[in-house]
Amino acid sequence: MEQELIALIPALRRYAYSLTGSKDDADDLVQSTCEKILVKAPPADAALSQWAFRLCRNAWIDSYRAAKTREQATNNPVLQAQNTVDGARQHEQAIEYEKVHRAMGELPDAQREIITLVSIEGMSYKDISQTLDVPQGTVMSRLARARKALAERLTANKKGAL
Amino acid sequence: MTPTDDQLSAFLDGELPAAEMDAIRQAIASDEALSERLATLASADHAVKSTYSRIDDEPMAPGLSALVQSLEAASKGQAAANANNDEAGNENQSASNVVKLRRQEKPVAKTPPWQWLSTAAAAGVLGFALASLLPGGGATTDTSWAAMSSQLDTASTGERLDFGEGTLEVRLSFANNQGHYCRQFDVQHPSAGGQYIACKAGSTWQLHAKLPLAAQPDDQYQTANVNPLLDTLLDSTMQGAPLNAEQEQVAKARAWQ
Repeated sequence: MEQELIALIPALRRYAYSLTGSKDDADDLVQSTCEKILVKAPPADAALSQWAFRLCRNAWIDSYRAAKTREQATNNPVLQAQNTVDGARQHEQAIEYEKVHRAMGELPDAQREIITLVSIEGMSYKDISQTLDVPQGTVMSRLARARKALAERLTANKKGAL
Repeated sequence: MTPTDDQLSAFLDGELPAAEMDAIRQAIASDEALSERLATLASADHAVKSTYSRIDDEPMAPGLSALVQSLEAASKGQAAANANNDEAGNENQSASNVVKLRRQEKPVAKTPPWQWLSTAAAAGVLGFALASLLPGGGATTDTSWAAMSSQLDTASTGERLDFGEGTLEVRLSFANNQGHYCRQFDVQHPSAGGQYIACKAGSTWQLHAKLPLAAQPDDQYQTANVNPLLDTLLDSTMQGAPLNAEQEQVAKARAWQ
């Protein structure tokens, strides 16, 4: 199981990053998720990946959301940390990332986590349905709303910036 | 038909029943506004992916890094134990954390197997032209389509062929969800230029999608790496990986049928 868990870490980090909006918080969250998995192995009928995403999400709900970390991160995007160096292109990218990040922060949690699982992790609706314990139809409609809202916000931001 | 946002979104993920997938594909081919809606929805995914995948390049926080090391040590211990029992052993012993992680992360995400398409997001998440898909009889005349499709049987992927006043280059061959062979090709031409997907049904090539080429500075050939909608269309159509050179030879020998 250790190897399987190690293999999952990159995916968990991206997921955690999208939830917390902070790289440091993301790694903390992944760490506590892994520790929980090591203490309490997944039930026999659950795939490790689904179990891991579920624990990660629950841990985030328990601590990070309660502490409003995400809100702070949204207002004070982490992306700055690595962007102290070079050129205009990177700067533009950083601005773009920040916009995406802010737009994500404005989505309801239930929509944000689904678009992350689909667009970054490539999970199927069925797997998401099992991971988040919501019907597949709900996954489909939340995802559509998330995509639409995000695209509209990004387009609006883009226009606003011009 | 006018698909709902739910349907279009599920279409992007290939999550609709086959009949609905087909119906939407056909609707896209004949309805420009629909292709714009689709491109808009798809842009959200590229934005999210490019933003949050950046953590892949960041070193892990010390706590997590220590945890991974202990996990690796534990799994090495198991591997060593296995090796004692079975000389076949386990090769997964020497790489450093970072290398291992990067090597292992690939299968997780739905990254399309053709890298030249998936770098689109890096160029600016919304900076792509909204594609317009045209039906077979639209900007593509019957004559130019006949001329194009006649080249598809014999063209090799990556070979740039003369096409009237321009060129035609097949970028990719693959099998679609119906088990038909398809080819994605770019045409540089004053009136028929575009990125095309054609699939062979029976003995004829059928136009599956056409997207405009992005405007290029100083006459350069388009490198076909900046169109997320093409990426998405391929993703929803393609079964498995693109054909390799040998598989393409086999398909060619069978006249793509």
